[in-house]
Amino acid sequence: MAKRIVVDPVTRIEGHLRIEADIENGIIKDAYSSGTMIRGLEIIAQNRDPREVWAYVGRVCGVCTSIHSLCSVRAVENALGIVIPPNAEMVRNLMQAALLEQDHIVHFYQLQALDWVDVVSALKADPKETSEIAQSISAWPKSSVGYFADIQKKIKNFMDTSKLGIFANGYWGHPAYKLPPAVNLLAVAHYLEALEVQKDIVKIQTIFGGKNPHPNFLVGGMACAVNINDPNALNLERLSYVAEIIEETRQFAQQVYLPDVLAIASYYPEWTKIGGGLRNYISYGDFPMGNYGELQTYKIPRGIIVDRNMSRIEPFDPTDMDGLQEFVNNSWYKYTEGKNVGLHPSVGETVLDYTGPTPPYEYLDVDKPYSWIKTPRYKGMPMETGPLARFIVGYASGNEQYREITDRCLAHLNVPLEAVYSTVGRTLARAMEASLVADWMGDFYRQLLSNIKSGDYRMFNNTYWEPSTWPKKAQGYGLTEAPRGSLAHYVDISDKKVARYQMVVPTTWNASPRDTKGQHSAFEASLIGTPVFDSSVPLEIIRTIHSFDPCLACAVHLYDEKGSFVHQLDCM
Amino acid sequence: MSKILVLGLGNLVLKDEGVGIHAVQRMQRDTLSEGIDILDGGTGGIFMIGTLQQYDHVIMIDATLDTNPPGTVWRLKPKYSTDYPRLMSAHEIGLKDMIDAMIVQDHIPDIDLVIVSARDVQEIGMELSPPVEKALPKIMDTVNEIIQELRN
Repeated sequence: MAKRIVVDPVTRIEGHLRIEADIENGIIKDAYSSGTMIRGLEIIAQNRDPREVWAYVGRVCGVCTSIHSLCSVRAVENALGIVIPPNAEMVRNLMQAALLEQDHIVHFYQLQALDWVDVVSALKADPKETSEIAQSISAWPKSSVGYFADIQKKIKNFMDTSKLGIFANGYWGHPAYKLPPAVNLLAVAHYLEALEVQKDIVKIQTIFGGKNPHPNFLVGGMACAVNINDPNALNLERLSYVAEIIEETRQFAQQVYLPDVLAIASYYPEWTKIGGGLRNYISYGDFPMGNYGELQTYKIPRGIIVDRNMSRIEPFDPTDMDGLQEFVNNSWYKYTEGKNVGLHPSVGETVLDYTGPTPPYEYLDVDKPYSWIKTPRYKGMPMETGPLARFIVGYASGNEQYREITDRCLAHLNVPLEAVYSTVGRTLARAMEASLVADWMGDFYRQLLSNIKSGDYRMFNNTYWEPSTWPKKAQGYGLTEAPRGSLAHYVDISDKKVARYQMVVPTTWNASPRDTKGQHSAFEASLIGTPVFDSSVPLEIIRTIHSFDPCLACAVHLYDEKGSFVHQLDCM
Repeated sequence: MSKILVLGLGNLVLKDEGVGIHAVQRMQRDTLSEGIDILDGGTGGIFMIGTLQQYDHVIMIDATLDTNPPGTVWRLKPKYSTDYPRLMSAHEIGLKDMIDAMIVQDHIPDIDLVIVSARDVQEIGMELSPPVEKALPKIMDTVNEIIQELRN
């Protein structure tokens, strides 16, 4: 007889996610992922000036503000046929890469690492041992005995005075924590360093976007003026500061983050076999070196891998009406044509239809719709999206950079390529991506600089800025690879206003409920087969769900089952 | 002279939840005395700690859902993240972690909190409800009162 356990909410994520899992003989037999808040941003965008929508969609949540803004300006530019200047493309790449680096680093150290690192155990470490380990895995200079002894003292003081504070969310002492105290101390030290380095990374958003956390975007380019000699413009001094931050980011990603993930993963070999889940992976591709839309210039390739068959990359076509579709058969929405059809986002509908249990409830009624998240499919197939999906598509594409780093890291862990299809694989892919993208930031920077030095200061294409130049009706889509995965915005412009706006966000792909054929989405699929040591402390569920870097705030938004908005603040 | 940041928090697209943002947007139109900056902080988060740490004092404005009449404005001097009331911006990795991260770094500005009781967060929208809209001058007065105290 299976026992149903509930994890609600899943902590250390943005937004509200509920997981229910059936456990039989200590193994998860089935799982249900439910977004218990609803998003309504599509409604805000309606009837607005399409040139302003980026500013509203950036408000979806506080974590990935600028990626929605980027996706929105791309959608409007696509609808109006605008090609932006090369400088603006590189500035967007740099801002997006900075967001990705910051997100990956913060996600690993501040949100995910505590699933694997026992902070309390770090207090028992011998700093000398930590120092030896640190020096054996990396050239990172902060590795002396004294440094780690100081960190240990600092953490002890902190815990004594503030009752764990930021560390209050762990399952400390759980037998599934396998790291020796010395490695725990190393990770805690880097937890603190990550907090520092992310402060610098995010400055790139401010330098190019004028402000943070909601940097400026512009339909047709970017809003920062370039002039190498003007003290108020993007001048050489500011650009060289960007170069410094890129270098700092690169060193941290390559000398701290990636070595740490490898060191931690080596203590959890069983987790290279758990948590794989789906066998299909999607990437819209991103980081153009040429114009946006010139797919062959993308650093992250576009494509789909079906059934883990890396010998063939299937195409992704955002305009195929039978390709990308969202279903609502298990979601609290209705479509004009009924519950069982799938709709392409260009004809998408957002009409709420709550039919779930009246709270407080013990379990979801999973025979009926059970989530505020819609279910996206590509040609009827469920897809995982995110850094792992990008790595699988990148590896399959034969790209040397993807192959080199993947082969090197897997050899280090002494595991086969199949090990990437796992909870550790997903975590490792994110760290490897941070390393790759940090190198690419150098490429974007050099291209920007050489373009400027050649005398091209253009940052904005104003050809179609005036609404009088627009057609009566226009339709477009914007695609990006957000830190968490593939993101799409679809816009309909009619009489100079937004007539329809639809967003398909990464966590919708991953966290959605079953489709009309009963196929699981990524979260649910990844949990099946996972052993759970103690069902009252389901650390194993959290480990796999966190490996996706879920962000529910944009998948759904602030709504409870009673139909009133709530704010879950007591959910620690 | 000490550096002061007035930080508006909240979600601008959820009506009253955005009152903190509305307040700082209004303040930006007024002239401010030297050493005082204004920031629209959205829903807050770890990525903002670097900015906050550049100031000696931070005055945060945020909305809460409580039993007070909508538009009620009050002040608080929280120390730990657990001292914060049920603020709208206290998402799982929003304000709470921003505070806790600065505490663990042992580098946290002195914080005053101005709290506004909300009414309408049921709907998506950018307008404030009438009682909360009416409270905006009181919010400004409270912020100015705190600034005066800090300056004296």
